[in-house]
Amino acid sequence: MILGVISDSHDNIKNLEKVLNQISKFNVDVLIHLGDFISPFMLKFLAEYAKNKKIYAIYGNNDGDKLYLKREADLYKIQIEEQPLILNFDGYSIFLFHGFGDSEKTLSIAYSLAKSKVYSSIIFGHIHKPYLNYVNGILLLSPGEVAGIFNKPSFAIINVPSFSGKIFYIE
Amino acid sequence: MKIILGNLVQFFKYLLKYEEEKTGVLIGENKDNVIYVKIAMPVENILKSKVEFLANPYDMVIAHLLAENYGLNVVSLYHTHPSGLPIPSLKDIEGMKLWPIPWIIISKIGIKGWILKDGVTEEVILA
Repeated sequence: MILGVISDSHDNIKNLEKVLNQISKFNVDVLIHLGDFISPFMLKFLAEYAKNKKIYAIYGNNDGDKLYLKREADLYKIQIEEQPLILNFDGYSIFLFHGFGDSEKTLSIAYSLAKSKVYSSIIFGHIHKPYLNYVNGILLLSPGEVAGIFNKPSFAIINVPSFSGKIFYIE
Repeated sequence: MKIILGNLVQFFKYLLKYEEEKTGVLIGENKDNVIYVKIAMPVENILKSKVEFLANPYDMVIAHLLAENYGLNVVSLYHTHPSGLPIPSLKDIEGMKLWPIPWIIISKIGIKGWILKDGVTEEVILA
């Protein structure tokens, strides 16, 4: 199973389209958005890309209009939840969360979660930069940001069950 | 460092009625090395053991969310030693490296607070 993972699109439709076009080359089975859509209209673009693919999403700290986001998500059959969200694929559980406070705090929490060895992978957003590491064999990954605010737009591809992950940048 | 527990002592003593180790976090604020606790949030011990605990990661994230929602922080982690001393075990010390905040250990003998500094446990004043 191939997972496409993105985060922090912050209303940047152009970058979202670029990223989704690149992700489409990987023939992913599932698309995951780790929050900070900002405006509900962003969900429509995800849905247009997805077509027959399942999309999971979590709210970020900047997703204020949750009621409308939820309404749009339901309309386009996107599963959007509060963080954290645990997904199970082929008997492997993946822990998704957006993040808290500053990057250091988010990374520290992600690291501690990985050390607990309860989940096969810990995936998070919020820090706006790609991060890929293995802690005791547990994949710890942030796909970076779609919006390109602080860093180049990027996304991640994860293979389940090998949990090999790779970060890709968009020019 | 000092942690102001107040009536939480009664809550901690109540947790000792359980044979398995109970755990949770304290949410509050740290002002000039004095920790003021606002919320005590129990967290599941997923090991359900009498002699060790592993805080449910899901609950830990919820605790941080709760803290953030109130403009506070997770300021301490507590757990019980139902049949032991209120001092950190070797496993506790490993855990203190992961969650580098003061740890409160509750036992029938007493309640003590600890923090890891340069790999060494130091007692924290509980008031």
